[in-house]
Amino acid sequence: MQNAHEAYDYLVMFVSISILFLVLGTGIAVFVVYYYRKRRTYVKEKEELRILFEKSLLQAQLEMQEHTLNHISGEIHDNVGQVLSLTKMQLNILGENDILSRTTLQAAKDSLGKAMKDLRDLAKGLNTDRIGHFSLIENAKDELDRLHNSQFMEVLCATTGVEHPISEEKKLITFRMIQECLQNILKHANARKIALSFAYTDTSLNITVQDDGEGFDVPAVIESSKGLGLRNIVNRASIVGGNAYITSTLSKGTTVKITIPYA
Amino acid sequence: MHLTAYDIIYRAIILIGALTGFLYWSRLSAAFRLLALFLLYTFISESAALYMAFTRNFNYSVFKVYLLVQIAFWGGVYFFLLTNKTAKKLTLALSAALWVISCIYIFSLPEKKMPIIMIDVESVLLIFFSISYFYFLIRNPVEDNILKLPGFWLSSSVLIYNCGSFIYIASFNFLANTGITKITLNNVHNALNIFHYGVLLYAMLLQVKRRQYAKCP
Repeated sequence: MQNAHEAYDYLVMFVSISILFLVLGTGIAVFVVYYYRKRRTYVKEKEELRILFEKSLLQAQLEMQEHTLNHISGEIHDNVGQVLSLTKMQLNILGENDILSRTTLQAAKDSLGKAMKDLRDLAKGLNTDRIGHFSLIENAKDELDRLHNSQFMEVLCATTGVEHPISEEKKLITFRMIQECLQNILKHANARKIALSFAYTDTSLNITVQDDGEGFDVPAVIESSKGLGLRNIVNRASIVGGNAYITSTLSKGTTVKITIPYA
Repeated sequence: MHLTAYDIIYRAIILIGALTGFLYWSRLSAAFRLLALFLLYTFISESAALYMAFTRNFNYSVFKVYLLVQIAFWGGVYFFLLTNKTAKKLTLALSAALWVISCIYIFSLPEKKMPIIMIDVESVLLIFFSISYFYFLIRNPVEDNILKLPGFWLSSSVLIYNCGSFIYIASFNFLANTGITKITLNNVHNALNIFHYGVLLYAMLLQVKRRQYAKCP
């Protein structure tokens, strides 16, 4: 009787313990299977993000090249072409008068010298590695100087904090965003002043592009077909792990704030 | 009383785990360094408990101190194992709270009584920590092969052992009084102990192998 009772007790205990470990074992097995499924989704999403990033990078590079070529063609037409035409006119009136010829010759030499310098500067711009050779701030200052010289706008550039290096890809995309902002100001803002500031913090670079132009209705423009440039700025900022905020007041100007994390 | 094969095997596994940890100390992460220290302390405690059982027939004081140390160590291990900041703070807070409550409970307990309730509460806490670890693994599936992740084996062992231990301790008196022999229950618990420390040793070896070519923090 006692043996039967004991045997029954052992059976109950054996079954209970087996059920417990079966449940725990099944739970862990289910966890492992679910984990591998999540992992596959994670890897796929990561790959998609990587492809999107590379696509954006390529697009930024192409836009940079297009912008550079457009600028150079404009400079050749407006500056170098005009200077060479003037030089030709000056050389045409040579030989009419000895004294006049020497003055005119000197002026023609000066014009040719200026045209050669302008061409050399343009040749530097054709170098696509230019962005890589200089820092983001130096490239941005170059762009501002060009605006100041050609459009006679007042430009300000300020830097705070200790400059922290960022990756070449982030630098290119960030510079493209700044260029887009400056192009928008040129085309639409009718501004007289542009202020560009770089603030380096411990974790990120904060860039502010501000103008004193006409301002615009940000939500309306972003939603419309005209807002592609603005949407590109916001998308590019998120692709490099940062964000971009655009605020504007009519008749008071527009501010674009871009945050780029270092990591 | 006499020394059994289980006593030797059980303590040998713990000692091997501790020695492996100290031998490859530079390759261990913070969590596994704490685990190595904990295994050494467990070996010392278990050996002291065995000695006191043979000589004085009473070793509850060893287990009372061991409970407090165990709470601190496991709290530390999971603090370093979990990567989420909120989870880390929660682990620290819960471990600290349980440690304080256990201290008060143990000091108010008569000498010849085991702190059964606190052991059960500690089991529940460790079950919660191990499930949290699995939850954060799912949330952030960066690991390519989870079966080679030392933390996975550590947490699996903690989960299974503490589930079994909780039920064993919670139901011990009831089962013993209904006829299921204490000896059989003890044998099951002993097997669980060997399983637990065996899997912890495996997790330790995986950690050592994993960080063979990696720099240490």
